[in-house]
Amino acid sequence: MLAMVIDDSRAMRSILRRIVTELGFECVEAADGQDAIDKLNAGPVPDLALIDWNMPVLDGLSFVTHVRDNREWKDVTLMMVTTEGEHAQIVRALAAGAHEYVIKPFTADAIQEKLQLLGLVGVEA
Amino acid sequence: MTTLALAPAELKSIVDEVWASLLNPTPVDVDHLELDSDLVAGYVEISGGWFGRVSVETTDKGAFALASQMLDVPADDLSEADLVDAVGELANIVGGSVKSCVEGHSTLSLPAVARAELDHQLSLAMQVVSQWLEHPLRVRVLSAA
Repeated sequence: MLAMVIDDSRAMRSILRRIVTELGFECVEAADGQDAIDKLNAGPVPDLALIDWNMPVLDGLSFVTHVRDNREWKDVTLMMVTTEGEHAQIVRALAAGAHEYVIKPFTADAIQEKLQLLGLVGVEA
Repeated sequence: MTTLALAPAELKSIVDEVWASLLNPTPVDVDHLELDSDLVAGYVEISGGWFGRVSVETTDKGAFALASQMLDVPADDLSEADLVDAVGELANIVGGSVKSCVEGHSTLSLPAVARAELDHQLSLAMQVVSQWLEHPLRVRVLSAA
């Protein structure tokens, strides 16, 4: 399984990379939404994208919309991981096609639970 | 005019949650903090009906230690950009939680970092001071007068 971590903060990408790697994913990183689209076009297409909202160049919501407009990327599971916690914004992201939503700060357990709900990580006995 | 519905105890709770999720060991509370020299301040601004700034402040050494832990890279191998990135992201996370306490719609700026005391156009609304390892840590919420 391949995860793409999309966040303009290198520190946050590093933290998320460690979490998903621990959960068995290989991981690639993108510094903003446009960088992520470029990497999707170049391939390989990830199984999961963890997406920050507020980023320069192309924000996370625009990225989600762009991915959902492209049928080649319909199987990518999209999970917002962001400081944006306003209810209306969460609704917007889910309506645009995000599957899950995690608000920073988060714990590794919270990420794992969301990925279990999405069926991307096995549930521990 | 919307308001910030945030009590000092709630800011403390927000800050504790951020520290617990990102820092090991967890910072300890202190009553007083000297943070006059080598200041590094990551900050975000919240705008909408309420305007204010949320800053995460420490020393230069503290900022490198924070970046080292967040990036999992030895401090000696870090660049100034890494320091800016890490302290800015901490401000972004704390600021995002503070923003959720603003009534009505508001927006959060991208984070920035300053190496000097920020301007005094805003007044201090509340702060949380703590110590992480040997480094001072201060979170301040400043509000337009």
